[in-house]
Amino acid sequence: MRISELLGRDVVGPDGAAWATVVDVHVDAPVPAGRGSAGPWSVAGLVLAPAPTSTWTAWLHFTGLTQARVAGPLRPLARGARAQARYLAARDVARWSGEALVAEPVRARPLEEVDR
Amino acid sequence: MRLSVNLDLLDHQVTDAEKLPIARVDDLEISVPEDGSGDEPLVTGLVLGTEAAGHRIGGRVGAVMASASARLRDRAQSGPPIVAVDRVEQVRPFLVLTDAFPDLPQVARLEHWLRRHVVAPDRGGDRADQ
Repeated sequence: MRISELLGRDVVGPDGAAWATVVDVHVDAPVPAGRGSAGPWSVAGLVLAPAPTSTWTAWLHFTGLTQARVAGPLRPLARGARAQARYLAARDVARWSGEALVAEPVRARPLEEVDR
Repeated sequence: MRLSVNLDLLDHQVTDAEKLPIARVDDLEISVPEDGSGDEPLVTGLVLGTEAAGHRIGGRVGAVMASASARLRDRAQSGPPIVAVDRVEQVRPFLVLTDAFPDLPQVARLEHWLRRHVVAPDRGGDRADQ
């Protein structure tokens, strides 16, 4: 599977109801200063925009503006979208196969609680 | 080191061991665990090159990009070049691989061809790196 297949994918609960969309993926990469990485890279978690999401909020997420430092007039908008974003640990995804990922909504927590 | 795929990896410059820019990260290959296992997916490789970018962009433009790039691919290769993540020795501010460009023939095939046939055709491709 490619990471691009995860981005934009819906997340549904066990009842099949869509509750979020994947807008970013966090990866743990044990890359030291020396030659070659010290171990496998793993998917740590998913950044989610709760469904339904406006086109404008989706754009903010996909451009990374909700996670990056944003200055100027976009800042309050990006911060507002970031406040709505959720983070789901990869181990809490029950199913990766299929058209949508399956995970319980209660497993997700506010993105602002996650220290990247 | 925790990385954001969107902010730290996709579309970021990849260089060889000598810091020569060779490609950009256009996708990541991952292996997903069995459903219900509670395991985390593993990132197994960086997918480089225009062909992968075309697939990610999609639509007619993406299809043209992917098709044109695929024509330069070695016939033995079934898809765009993938570099294993254990060949990555640095991630920020750009990705650095442990290998030098001549040791990565599957990456940037157009550049390899130009080196051999345009830049140094009289001296040979190997000596073009001196």
